[in-house]
Amino acid sequence: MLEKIIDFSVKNKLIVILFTLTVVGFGLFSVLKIPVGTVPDITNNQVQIITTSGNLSTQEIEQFITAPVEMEMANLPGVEEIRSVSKFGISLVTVVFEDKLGTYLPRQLIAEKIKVAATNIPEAYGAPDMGPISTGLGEIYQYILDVKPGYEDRYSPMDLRTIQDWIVKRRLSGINGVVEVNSWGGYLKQYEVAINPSLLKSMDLTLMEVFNALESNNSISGGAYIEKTNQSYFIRGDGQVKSIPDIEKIVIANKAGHPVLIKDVAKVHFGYANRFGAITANGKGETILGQIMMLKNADSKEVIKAVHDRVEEIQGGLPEGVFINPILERGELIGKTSTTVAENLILGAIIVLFTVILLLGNWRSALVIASMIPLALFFTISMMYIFGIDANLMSLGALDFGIIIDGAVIIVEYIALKMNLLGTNLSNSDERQKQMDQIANEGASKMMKSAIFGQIIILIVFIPILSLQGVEGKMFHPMALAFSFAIIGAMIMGLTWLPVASSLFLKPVDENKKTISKRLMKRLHIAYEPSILWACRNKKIVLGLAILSLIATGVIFTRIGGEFVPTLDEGDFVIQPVLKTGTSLSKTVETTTRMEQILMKEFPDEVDQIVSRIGAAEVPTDPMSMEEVDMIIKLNPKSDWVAASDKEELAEKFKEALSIIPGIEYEFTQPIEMRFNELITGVRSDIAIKIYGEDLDYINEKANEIKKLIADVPGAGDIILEKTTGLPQIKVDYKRDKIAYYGVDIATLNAYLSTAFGGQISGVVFEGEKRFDMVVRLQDQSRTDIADIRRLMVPVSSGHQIPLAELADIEYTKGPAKISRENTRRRVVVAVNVRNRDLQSVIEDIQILIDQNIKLTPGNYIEYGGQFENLQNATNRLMLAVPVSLLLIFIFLHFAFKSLKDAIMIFTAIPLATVGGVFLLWLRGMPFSVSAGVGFIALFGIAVLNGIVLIEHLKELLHENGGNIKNIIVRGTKDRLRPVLLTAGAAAMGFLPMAISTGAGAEVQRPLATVVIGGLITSTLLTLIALPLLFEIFYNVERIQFFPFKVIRSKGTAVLIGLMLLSSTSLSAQKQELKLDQIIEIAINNNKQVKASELEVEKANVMKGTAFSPDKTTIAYSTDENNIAENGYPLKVWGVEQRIDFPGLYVSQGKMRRLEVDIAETEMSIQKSTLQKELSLLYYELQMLQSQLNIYRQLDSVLIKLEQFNERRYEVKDISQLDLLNIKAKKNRAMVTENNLNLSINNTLKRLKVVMNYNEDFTIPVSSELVVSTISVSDSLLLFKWYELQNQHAQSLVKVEKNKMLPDITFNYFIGSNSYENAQNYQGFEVGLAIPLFFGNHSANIKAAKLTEQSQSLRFSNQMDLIRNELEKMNGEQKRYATLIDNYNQVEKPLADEMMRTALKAYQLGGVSFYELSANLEEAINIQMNFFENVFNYNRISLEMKYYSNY
Amino acid sequence: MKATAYILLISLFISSCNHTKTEEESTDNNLIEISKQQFEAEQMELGTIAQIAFPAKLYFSGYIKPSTNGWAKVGLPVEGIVQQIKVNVGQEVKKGDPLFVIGGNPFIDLQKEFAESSARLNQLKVDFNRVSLLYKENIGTEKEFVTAQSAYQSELAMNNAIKMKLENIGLNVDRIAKGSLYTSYTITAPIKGFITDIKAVVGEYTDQQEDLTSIVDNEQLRLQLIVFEKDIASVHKGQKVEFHASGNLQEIAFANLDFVGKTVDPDSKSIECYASIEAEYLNKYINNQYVEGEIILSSDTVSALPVDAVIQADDQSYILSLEQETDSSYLFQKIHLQEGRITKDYVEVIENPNVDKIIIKGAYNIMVD
Repeated sequence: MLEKIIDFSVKNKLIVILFTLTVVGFGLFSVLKIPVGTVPDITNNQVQIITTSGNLSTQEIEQFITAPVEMEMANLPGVEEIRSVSKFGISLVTVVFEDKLGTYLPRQLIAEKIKVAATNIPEAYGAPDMGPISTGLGEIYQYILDVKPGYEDRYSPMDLRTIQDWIVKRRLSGINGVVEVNSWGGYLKQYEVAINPSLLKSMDLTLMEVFNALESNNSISGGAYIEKTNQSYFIRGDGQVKSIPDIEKIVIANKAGHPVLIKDVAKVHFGYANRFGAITANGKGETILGQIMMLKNADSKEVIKAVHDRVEEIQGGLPEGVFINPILERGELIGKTSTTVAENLILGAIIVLFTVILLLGNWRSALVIASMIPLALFFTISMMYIFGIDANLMSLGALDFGIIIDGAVIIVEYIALKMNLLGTNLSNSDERQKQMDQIANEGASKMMKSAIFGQIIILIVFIPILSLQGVEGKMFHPMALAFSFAIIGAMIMGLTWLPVASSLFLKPVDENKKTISKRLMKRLHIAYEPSILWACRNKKIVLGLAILSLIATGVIFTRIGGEFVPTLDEGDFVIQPVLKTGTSLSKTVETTTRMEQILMKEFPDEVDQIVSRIGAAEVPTDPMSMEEVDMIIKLNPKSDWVAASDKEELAEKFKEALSIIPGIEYEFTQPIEMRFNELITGVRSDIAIKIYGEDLDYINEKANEIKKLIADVPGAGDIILEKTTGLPQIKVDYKRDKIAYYGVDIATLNAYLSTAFGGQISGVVFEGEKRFDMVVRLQDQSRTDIADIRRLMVPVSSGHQIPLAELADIEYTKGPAKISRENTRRRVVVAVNVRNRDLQSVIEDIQILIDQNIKLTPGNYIEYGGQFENLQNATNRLMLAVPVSLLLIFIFLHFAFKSLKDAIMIFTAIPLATVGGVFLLWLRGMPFSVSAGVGFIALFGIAVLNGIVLIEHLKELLHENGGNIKNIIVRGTKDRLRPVLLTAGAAAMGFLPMAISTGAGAEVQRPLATVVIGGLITSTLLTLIALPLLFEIFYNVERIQFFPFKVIRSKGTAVLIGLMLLSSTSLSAQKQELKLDQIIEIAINNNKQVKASELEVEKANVMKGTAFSPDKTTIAYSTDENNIAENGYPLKVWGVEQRIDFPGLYVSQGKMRRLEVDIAETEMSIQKSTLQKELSLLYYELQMLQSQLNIYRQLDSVLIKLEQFNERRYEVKDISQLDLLNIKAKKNRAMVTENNLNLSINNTLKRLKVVMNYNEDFTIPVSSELVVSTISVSDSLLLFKWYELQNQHAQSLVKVEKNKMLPDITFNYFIGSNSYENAQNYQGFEVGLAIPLFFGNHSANIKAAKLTEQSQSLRFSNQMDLIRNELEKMNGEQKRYATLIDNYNQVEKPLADEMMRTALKAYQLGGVSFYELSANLEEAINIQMNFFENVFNYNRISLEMKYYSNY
Repeated sequence: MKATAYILLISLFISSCNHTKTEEESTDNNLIEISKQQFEAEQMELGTIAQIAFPAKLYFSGYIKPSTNGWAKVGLPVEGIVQQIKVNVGQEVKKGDPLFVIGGNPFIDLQKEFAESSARLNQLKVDFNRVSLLYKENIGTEKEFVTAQSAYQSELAMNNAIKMKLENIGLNVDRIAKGSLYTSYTITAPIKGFITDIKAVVGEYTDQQEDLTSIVDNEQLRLQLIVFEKDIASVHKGQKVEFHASGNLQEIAFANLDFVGKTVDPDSKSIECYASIEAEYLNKYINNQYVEGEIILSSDTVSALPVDAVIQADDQSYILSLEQETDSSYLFQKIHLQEGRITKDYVEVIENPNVDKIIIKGAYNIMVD
């Protein structure tokens, strides 16, 4: 395939040239269009939900705002992490989504959920809102509004804020790609009605009256229009306040005809909104900062350009003396990093070119090779443009042309060599061209294989990088992709352009011409030959040294430590001074101004501008407290510095200079870094030790312990404990009893409190287009002390005003300053920034210390985060991905060579390449970082490529010539010295500018380049010296195996804390409650009588067998001399005789027995029903008693209360003793009744138990159920059935007796024989009838039976009649009771209840006497008691009826 | 090549040996060092714990009110028509100064009644004398005697009553008895003081219930304080009171509490107390003026520090005491402070630590933990 492409290319040069030109053209287009940035945007896919609620304190913010918002967000799909910060007045919830969800879907989801969350937040507490669609790179342009010298006094911070809000911000909005213009600092102008509370009090007015007056005297209205002749006149009622005098003239109330105006109680002036943030700049005090935030994924270059243009426009239109002073301009950094990238690329290209010329000695070849550089670059940029990868430090900045041209070098070197062999003796140009074509074709095809193998291997090694995820993925994907594009480009060009160019431009050169390159190569050969010969002789030493160096590498590697990504020098500083929690804004402003002055004064050459951002901006994407400061220091170019030579040193100097202000610690970082750190992990430090738990005090205490513990860990530079507690508060603790006493409500009090001290917006005032809030609050001097809160006058229900201190305890307290939560758990962070040591070792030390010394109670746990987190993630992923890709390389090598030996041999290049890489890193004092890791990966590819080139050649030689391997090695290595040095040298040289560059952003690339250069040195040594030896060993000696040895560091201590789950089982010791059917079931199972009946049934069943009762069978033996057989001897006769009764008897007896079974069964049923009835009766009786008991209990409790009540009354002699005695007697009687009832219940229960034959205690449900019964007197009644059966039984008895009169039947069978000769068997059969001749007794029996039958049937019908009568009677009774019950339910019950209630009420109110009460109560009780009795009776009758009718 | 490898290896081992860290131990003997430079820059000051009067105060609001005898309302003893008003609002009057001239029929009727009564009295007196004589002599009936006596005595009482009324107005009753009646009478000031308002209008008929004017004696003003129930226990007679007019914090006046109310007003749930204003401040306040101030409940002199001297850390309070002074710096010992009461400016020190000099200003930023 490859050959065909190459062949096609060589034959169709024009097409290839056109294709190449297309690539160049599109490349140029892409260069102009591609977005340029500094570093990749590593911000995760997050949405911030910001809620500002001016007057709420931290706990309330967490409770009322953060928690509901978090709760709602927790269930969104694709959420990776939720963390939040609650501070005074601000809640910020950050929801991190999976990247695949994109930018807008999460926002859509959140928008939906926010609505729900908002409903859970009390209305006055603010509404949650989403933060701008921006990222860590979003702050592209920050400016302060500066005032030119000479105008300083003309503009106050308030004026500047107004200019910012109403001029600058508006003009800056609407730029494509700008998502937010955020204002920070200054004073938000308000029309303030500053009330003098004592004047207000002396006028007997309240704050709210003032507020209402302001609200209702500032409105506008329209009255449509009137038509007058031909014109319509529109009516406009303008009652808006327009100026301070307007407000002053608003009337609050009219006191005795005198209007009280606002100006009588308050001063109206320009005030400002409560501030949560401020800006100071350059030691000149407060000013305004504007932040322009860029839309996520926008092209920063374009946006910055647009912003610049717009700023230019605005500058002209600002009030005289004011100008926009850019502080942080992303453009500058982009410019600087772009320069670094370009510098690296250009220098790299030149150095590569130079190396190639030097080693190849042929400028034509060099140029052909070099032509690959721009082509690959254009291809790369085109692809990057297509795939939407920004051009920045990490993508374009990492390209090494040395690696890219490696393939080309091999090919061109080979072709050049062949051409030289061909010589210059071809005259005909056509023929020559043909020759050239062929050489090019051959050479390309032959070498392309090795080249492509090498390149594919380099591609493979980038797979692990592509597998990185999260931050490190975002950071290094662009690089891996850009590199891959470049290599693919080089491959395509190598197949197409390179052969064409070679055939067109290469010319044979004079072999004998002395060139520098020749001489150089000669020298190298001279140096190399003895070495390889020596090495061949001392294989053991060489290989031993190699292994030794590997071990040494392992040792060094464990010592160099690691960090995530080398920090990009952004050229600016951010200093974060740590002030005390709760420091006031003015104190912070004063402090930062002093710091700025010190720095400006001491470092005039280094510091360009300083801006301190204090507290929170208007859109608080980073909710800092008022004592938190980001002091951004814009530095001059390094070349101008005098005081220090690098940033570390400068930072130290700064610290020293600032130490004149005692007691303040400083953190140093950089703007983008700070923002990234903050957005990605929520913590802005290298290491974050997070302590999770519920109890803020506890985790805070532990955090303090940890802070002290790790203070001495070397390298732990700034240890900062996140300030979560100690926010000074004044707590107004309302006293409920006092509030009740004065008759006020808390809402009103809170309204007064917040209006008085926080201020309440009562309307707006327009100044032209600008609108300003009109705010009511107390005057400044009445808002300075806790005493002012104590004496805040609030109106109470009587109309008087009283100080708040009357209604509440108002004291100083300390509260949480900030509550951070991660995945809905509270946490405290100890942040550690690492100085002068690598991150990895510091975190290890810290972990060991903490594991040994800190013990946490269950439910609390520690996690580690920060940059370290990313390093750990990356390490873990690389630990998996690197072996996989190594395996892939190995497999690929195996495919390429179809030999395991060769693959292993070449593979040895990898460990030995690491030697140089690690060594050079260590030598330059660089820790291992992901950047260096990527370098190693690239290095592996190149190292393998070199091995391939060499081994291929050696194998070829071996294949062609055979013979002595040593000779082959010497010859082969000599042949290949140049290409090996060329590829390695070109790659190494290509990285050289990167390795030594000091430009902006070079620190990120430096470790990578260092690793590659160092690695290439050792891997080349290996390729040239050790590899041939291995080749010899492998091809000479069998069965020696090398196991590549590699030290992989693995660290990561997960702190696992098992959660103890305490479960408690509740013991239930209640008596079981049995329902009626359960009781019946138990009883039927247990009752002895039922058991007896069951036995009866069984007996009857057994008796069925007696129906067929033939007489005993007679077996007879006889011998009779008379009975002589033929043989003359008497017969011995055997006989069987059976007499049976007449069969009819058996039939009738069977019938009788069956009837008896039926009777027994029926009797058992009756027994059961009787039992059931009995049980039910007892059950209902119990229910009745219980219900009655309940009534008495109620009565009792009423009486007890009455007794107490009356005892009190008696004490005050309100009633006579007689009354009291009466009540006591009454109560006593009730108690007695209750006791009786209790006794009855116990008795009944005992009876029930006896019937049930059941010993355990139980209760029954207390309610009064009614038994449902229908009456139907039918023959199916059990009792009737029983009588019927009895009747039938009597009849059957008659039949039996009658049948007994019938004759018996006898059967007789006999057989006779004797034992003599000729004996024969003589059989005989006899049937006979036995007729009862004397049947006197029989007929008497029959008669008796008949008489019995008759009497039975008489009794039966009599019983039937009786039952019927009974039932009818019962029916009547039942109806009566039913009516009574109905009556009770409908009439009496409400009547009784009402009677009882009203009687009691009346008695309590003294409306009736105790006698009347007691009569009433008695009546009511009686009604209820009767009711339950009636219910019982009803049930009893129903049961009876049921018993009769339905059994 | 070989040599290079050796050199590399050797240098590798050597340098790895050099790779040890030198750690510096900071001497930490719990002293806090503040350089003189810092001291200057932060404008710190050294001071000592001072003895400062620490008053316990109770805030109140109230009014300036006249004392019971320093306030008079002027009404009519006899109804009539205002004929003339002799004073203006705000005018100072002495006791007895004429205020209004009142005329009108009721007044004349009264005089007439008196004259008639006087005449009748004479007649009844004579009659009574006569009957009594008869009775003494057992000639007249007792009934007659009693009738005459009662007629006389009741007339006498009525006559005296009217006489007093008229005398009260300041008229000569003898002249009236003789039948010579006055057409008008003058009302005079019952106390000295200032006229606060005049309700009377000339020509208006006024009856006895209506006030014509009121007079307040500014020299007898006192302070009415409104104190809430919970505070009443700490308020005693004799306590000193500081007060000022609403909004005027500069001019503070003093008074002495001399009456503590014994009833809680059911509407305002407060108790009225009164304090006598010290004489020198009397002229600065006027009747019914709203004032606010503080009752000084107790005042004791305690060890105290300025608020700025106290440093808060970990919910604890500390002060910095100077231990040592070197050429370039001060060394301070942090000392835990037992805080007592706090006012706007001072903090009470409960257990007085034995310290000499401490920082009393500019210590805010110093970290002590």
